[in-house]
Amino acid sequence: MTTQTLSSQQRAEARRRAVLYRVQKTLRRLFAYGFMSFLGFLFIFPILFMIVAAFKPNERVIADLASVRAFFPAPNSLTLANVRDVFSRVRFEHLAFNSLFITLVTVIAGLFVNSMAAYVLARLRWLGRTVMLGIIVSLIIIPLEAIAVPLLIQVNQMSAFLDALTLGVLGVLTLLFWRVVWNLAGQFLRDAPLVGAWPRVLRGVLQALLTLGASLPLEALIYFMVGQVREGGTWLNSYHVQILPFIAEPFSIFLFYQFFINIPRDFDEAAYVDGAGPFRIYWQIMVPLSRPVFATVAILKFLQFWSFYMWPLMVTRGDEYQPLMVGMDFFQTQAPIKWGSIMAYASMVTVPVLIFFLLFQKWFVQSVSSSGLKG
Amino acid sequence: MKTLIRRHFSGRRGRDLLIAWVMGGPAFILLGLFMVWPFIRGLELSTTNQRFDGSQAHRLSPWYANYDRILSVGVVHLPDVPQDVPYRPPRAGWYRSKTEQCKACEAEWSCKISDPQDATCAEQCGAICAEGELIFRWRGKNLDEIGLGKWANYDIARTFSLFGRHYAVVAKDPLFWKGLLNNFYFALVVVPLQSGLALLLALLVNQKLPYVNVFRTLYFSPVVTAMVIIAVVWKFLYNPDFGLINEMIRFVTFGKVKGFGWLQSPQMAMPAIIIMSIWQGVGFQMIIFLAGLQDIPEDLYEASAIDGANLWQQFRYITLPMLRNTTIFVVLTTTILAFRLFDQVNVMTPDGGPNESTATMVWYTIRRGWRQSEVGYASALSVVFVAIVLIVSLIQRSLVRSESALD
Repeated sequence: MTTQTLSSQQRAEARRRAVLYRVQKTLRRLFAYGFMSFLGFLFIFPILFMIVAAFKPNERVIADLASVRAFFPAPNSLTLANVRDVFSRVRFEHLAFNSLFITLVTVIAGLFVNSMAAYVLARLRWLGRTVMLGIIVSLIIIPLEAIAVPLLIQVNQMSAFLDALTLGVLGVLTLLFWRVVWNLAGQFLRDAPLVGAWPRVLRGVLQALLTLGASLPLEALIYFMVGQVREGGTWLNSYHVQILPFIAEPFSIFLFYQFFINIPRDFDEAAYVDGAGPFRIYWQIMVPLSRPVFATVAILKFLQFWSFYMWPLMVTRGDEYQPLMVGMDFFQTQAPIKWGSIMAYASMVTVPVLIFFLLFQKWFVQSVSSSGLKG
Repeated sequence: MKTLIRRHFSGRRGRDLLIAWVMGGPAFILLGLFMVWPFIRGLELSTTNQRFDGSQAHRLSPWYANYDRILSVGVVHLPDVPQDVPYRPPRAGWYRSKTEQCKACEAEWSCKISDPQDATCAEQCGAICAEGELIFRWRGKNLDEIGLGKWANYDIARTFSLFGRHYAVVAKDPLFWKGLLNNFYFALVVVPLQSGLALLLALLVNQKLPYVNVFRTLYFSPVVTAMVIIAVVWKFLYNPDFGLINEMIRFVTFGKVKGFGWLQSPQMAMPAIIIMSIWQGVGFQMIIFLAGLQDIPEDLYEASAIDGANLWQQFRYITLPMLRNTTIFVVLTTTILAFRLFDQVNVMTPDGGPNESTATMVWYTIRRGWRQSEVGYASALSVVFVAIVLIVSLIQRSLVRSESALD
């Protein structure tokens, strides 16, 4: 091999090319960033406008539209009047509680119910398993919109038998839930630094309190439901009519099922040999191993039921049981229509979820991308 | 038989059956109660004239009367346009509408163009008034007089002319067909546009650039806003007089384009809903595409770069084929979502938009079943809706399958 030294001319040429390359790269990057920022503006401007307008006096909202000021709060006219107006015209805090309560119970109970169903479908052999699996997969295609009207008739005239059946289901659910939480609480208390040394009786009381507290939403749901069912046959205008029909969901079961059948059987065989029953295997082996799919289903269901509109619109009257989405109609239909208040209301609903999204962005992105793995 | 029963109901199998129903039971019972049963009940209700107020319902005869009303559609050959088209609407038949200029002319000469005796009016205003639109008056009870008696139960959806002859599309329930067409319009625009845009965004945020995640966050954030809430904000932005979107259009085009009527105009109402829906939903598909892109092995690109492939060739021959399954998934789910369109429409155009240009199938079903409490008829609409969704997705699936058979 002979080594060649570059002539000065060649070296200059190389340097020139390096500079050219760097300029090209910078230009390409600038272009990419410019284009992405332009798109980013298109995606963010309605949200930005909404939040800024929420803090403006009512008349400035429209006056500022013709200029860039639509996107900037004017420091001298910053006001909370719109927010105050929202609170004085509707019971915002009550609507927010309704929305949170309905969404949380639907999501938490849904996680529990659907994952258990997926577990018995994926792991146990029992009569009718394949038929049930077939039914559930074919139910995925039926959109809620298609059964809304018959469902409305059904919840309007629930028979005593169906009331009892649903209450029974809820009862079984609570018992199972207590069993899980009881054990988790026991574990937690044993490992807790100070409490671990307490006498057993005291720890037991604390354990019971924790169990009841953790499952409080479910118990509250049963309490509300018993109260309404005793009054008459209709389910309309209540919490449970917005929750119970949507706890079990074929698509969630399917997502769980797909995840569970991919967990190696060795894990549960080992637990089985150690004397664990199916329920114990479910919550001590399967649940801890499948945290990602739980997060996926939780986030997808949260997004779906937080913005749920059609069904609550159909089954609620008045603000006692209405969620935030239906409460929005008030500002649109009741005079005076103040755009500042509408923007304030919209911001107050949107911003908490946006913050939540920014904090747990990784989980959101992961859950959305794994919803597509089905393909 | 006995052994079969013993095999399933005793021992480990028997115990598993019990546990399956204790643990899975809540889900199975709830699904049965609130999905399967309403669906079956809907099939039954669709053959009745049940109303929501609980009044006595009875089975229709024939049982498919509701379906007949929904699905009956036809094309009618209309009678020829007469020599002198009247200006006063007849009991049934052609007439000419009066334009504003025509009315002004009438006022000026204080005459009536619809009066055939009035010669001055015909002379002075005849030419101006002849500009009026030709309209066919369609009234069920009078159709017999012009020989269209068998269409008495139908309503006119629109008229068109072909080779100098006039025809009308008629249906027993024109609004259903309008909704169906609007759904197809929405789906045909949104599915390719939204999928394509999602892919573009995914390619953009998949670049190895610093801070590229910021843009991913920006594009995704509309997804976490609630559709109903953000639709109200968009309704404000779309305002034709002072809406921000028209202001921006005027700004970008230096005032050459005055802006559009958006939700107030029959042509632009659906596009307005389409733009807003894509804006809200595209981030979701972007993330799915992004996951697909990140699954493509890097060495494929390196190998092709060595072979001298340019960016477009890499995209065409590596990225697209490798994203095939993802694309199919995105297209299938977006199509189903497009047919379920309701929230935006109900918030932005509660009465179905100008000329019912934003009415959709679900919107119409809810209107009949809930607002007008015609549960029986709405159940039939729901059944037809499920059938259409099923057919569309079956067609898509078979297309996908036949295409993969070619590979």
